[in-house]
Amino acid sequence: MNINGQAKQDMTYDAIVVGSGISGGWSAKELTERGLKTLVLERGRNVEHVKDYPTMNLDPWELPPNDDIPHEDRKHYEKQMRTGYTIKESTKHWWVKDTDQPYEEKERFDWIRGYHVGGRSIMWGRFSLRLSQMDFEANLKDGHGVDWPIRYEDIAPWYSHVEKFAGISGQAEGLPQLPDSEFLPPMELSCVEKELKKSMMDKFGRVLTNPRMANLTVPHNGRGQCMTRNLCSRGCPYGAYFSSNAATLPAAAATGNLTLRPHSIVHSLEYDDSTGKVSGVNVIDELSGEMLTFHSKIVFLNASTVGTAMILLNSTSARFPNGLGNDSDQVGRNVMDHHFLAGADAVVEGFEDKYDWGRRPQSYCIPRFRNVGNDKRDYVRGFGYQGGSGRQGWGRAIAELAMGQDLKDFAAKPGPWTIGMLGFGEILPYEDNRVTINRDKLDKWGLPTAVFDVTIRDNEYKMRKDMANDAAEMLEAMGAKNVTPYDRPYGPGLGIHEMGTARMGRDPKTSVLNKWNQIHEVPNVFITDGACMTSSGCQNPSLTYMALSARAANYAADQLEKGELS
Amino acid sequence: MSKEMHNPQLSEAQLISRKEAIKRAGLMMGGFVFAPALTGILQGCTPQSGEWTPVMFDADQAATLKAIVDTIFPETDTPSASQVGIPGFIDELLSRNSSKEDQDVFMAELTEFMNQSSADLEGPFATADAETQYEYLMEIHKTSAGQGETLKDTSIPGFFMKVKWMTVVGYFTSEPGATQVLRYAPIPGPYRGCVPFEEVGRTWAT
Ligand SMILES: Cc1cc2nc3c(=O)[nH]c(=O)nc-3n(C[C@H](O)[C@H](O)[C@H](O)COP(=O)(O)OP(=O)(O)OC[C@H]3O[C@@H](n4cnc5c(N)ncnc54)[C@H](O)[C@@H]3O)c2cc1C
Ligand code: SF4
Repeated sequence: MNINGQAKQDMTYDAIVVGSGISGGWSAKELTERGLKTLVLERGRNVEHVKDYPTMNLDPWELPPNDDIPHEDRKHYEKQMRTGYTIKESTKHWWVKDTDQPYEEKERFDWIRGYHVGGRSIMWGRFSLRLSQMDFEANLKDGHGVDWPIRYEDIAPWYSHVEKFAGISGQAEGLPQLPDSEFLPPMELSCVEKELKKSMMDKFGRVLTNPRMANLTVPHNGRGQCMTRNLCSRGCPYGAYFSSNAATLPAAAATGNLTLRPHSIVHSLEYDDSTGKVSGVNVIDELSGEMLTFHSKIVFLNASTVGTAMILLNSTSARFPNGLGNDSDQVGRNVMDHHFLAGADAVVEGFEDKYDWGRRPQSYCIPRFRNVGNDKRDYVRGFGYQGGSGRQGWGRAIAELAMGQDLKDFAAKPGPWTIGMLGFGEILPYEDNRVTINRDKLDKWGLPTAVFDVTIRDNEYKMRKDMANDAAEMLEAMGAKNVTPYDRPYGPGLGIHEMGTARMGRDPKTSVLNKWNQIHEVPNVFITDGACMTSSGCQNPSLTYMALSARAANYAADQLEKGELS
Repeated sequence: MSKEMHNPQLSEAQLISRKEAIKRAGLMMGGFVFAPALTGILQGCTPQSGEWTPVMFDADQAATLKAIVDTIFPETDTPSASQVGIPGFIDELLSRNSSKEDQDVFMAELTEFMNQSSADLEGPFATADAETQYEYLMEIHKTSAGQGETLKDTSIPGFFMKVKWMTVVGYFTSEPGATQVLRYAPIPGPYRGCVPFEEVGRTWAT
């Protein structure tokens, strides 16, 4: 693309979308399908579906054993490695180098991310759950945070809309606290999971259900069926899981209305006093270092929760000295995640003549049951579980007191079945859980760096006790052995579900966005990534970002058709 | 615990596997990580030991390691550890993917093992007969498993477990180990949660 000397006309579009991850891909698809000439600005390199998945088909022996990175490379990923699983030789190309992308931690914050076309839609876990009416009403009912300006019925049709395109597999259960999606057939449960499911229903009246995930159990919209290789984070040769690269961006491109511009780091938005709108998007070209300005009628900020907040805070003007749309001082506040690493494991006897076939790429699901209906705890909100099971594998040969043919024979026999569940809990919106920008410490592109000050508190700590104890109790009740509850240290961000930095609300004094995800004071800017979340629920959030992106994009297109916003 | 225990390809964000991964990360600490350059060595099931040029080890050290790993996995109806390239694998782990500290510790422990075994066996471990090697290592293994006292106050039981860990991981992520001893399915097809064991027959490699 020739950038130098481009006329303003060439740099003007109907819509600009910042970021090409889960939310940006959806914004782009919907806007282009509504006939809007749309520019997607993505700070990272281009990644073409299949072509740019270099490791997707490698066998273990074609990779460095255990798939670890060389020692000298570890220093580049000090924070990205905190998950313990993200930085592997087969996946390290999807993650930022901390040495290139520094940030400050007043309190530990694990900001785990990748900058390239597709964003984290390539590496995400694909667990896909709807929020429920209970979640949209929670803030109003217990007084934490501000009220959501929407209710379940506002988003429900948009959940359906995105699910039908993305393809979510799962089993309908008819639960009010975890509404069903438009499901493709579910992936099976293992023998021991079926046993736990039965025991949980008999003894506690609680539901265990099949994975709800954006993996296709049947071919869908031109994408292939999941072959259960469990190598999703390397990219899928069949397009069998939802990513921007496999699904939304090709659909957007097919309209002829999409311009995708990689290597385009959005620096700030330009506010025009005379119109009361944003008139330009300032971009640093990552390759040339040049600063460019693109123009459009509307802008969708989808740079992810923290990225979007940083763009707003960096967009200062006489009208918005503290950052665009930040009259309320809420930009960067109310950072939420899901706290986890509390649950239980156990061994299940009695299924030694059974095994499973394939590597199911997601966990079973136990919907929230605490503070639901008549249940009342000493904390508010709740948690759900994700869990797995399987027979112990060859790893147990290490400790086994054997060598020689005996050891080969031992390894060739799978061990006992094990089963585990891991809670994912809601974090309340605390105003002082905050990300700010430091203008004194600039990154290598001259942009301010992020500073995190986020902690979990009493409500979360109380909830974690139940996350461990309830798991242990349900495993005991099924007759499992060696039941081991745990509550391991969790650092905010580690759930990789960060959200809340530009929340939706009814009142411009206490929120940044209105019920259509528009900045209250700047109606041509829409924010539909995790920044917009008013509360976190305990459900993995990305499906909600998809639905809100589609909803807001169609609203924006409607408004433009009516002659508004332009 | 979950099946990810035995799955070297951890699924990102399969939540149970996050936990396992974190545990594994703990297990891997000590910096033993593996390098891509090794790929060639591990490919195919032709014996490679002859072509290996050690980076970390002199000839005696290399011969000692080879003897240890081949005692752990000797050639039977399936290949030995050295036939799938484990000595080179360990060399690569240390030279390329471990910290200087971990390298130094390992080399010191190897030296201690060589000195101690030479004294105990009245000659180098590497040249002892297979039965002697087996019995000697088995006594050490018993100590590390908490079932014996042999060399309890030395670094040797811990050193042995390190080598065993590397050998087992290397062996079962090699093509012969994964496909001949275990069962490997690169493309399993639809997931079935509960099949008769005989349909699979052996432990899944991944
Ligand atoms: C390992 C892992 C497992 C996960 N599992 C799940 C799960 O099971 N279920 C679930 O719901 N969620 C899961 N998530 C979270 C999910 O990935 C995120 O919620 C989702 O990707 C957020 O979408 P987004 O569009 O807001 O941001 P992203 O997908 O992160 O995309 C943001 C994009 O914006 C670009 N960008 C950032 N700043 C700028 C800028 N200044 N200028 C231009 N471009 C910019 C980035 O390069 C990136 O491409 C997981 C995440 C990870 C990493
Ligand atoms: S598990 Fe399924 S979706 Fe994931 S990479 Fe394999 S085939 Fe693709």
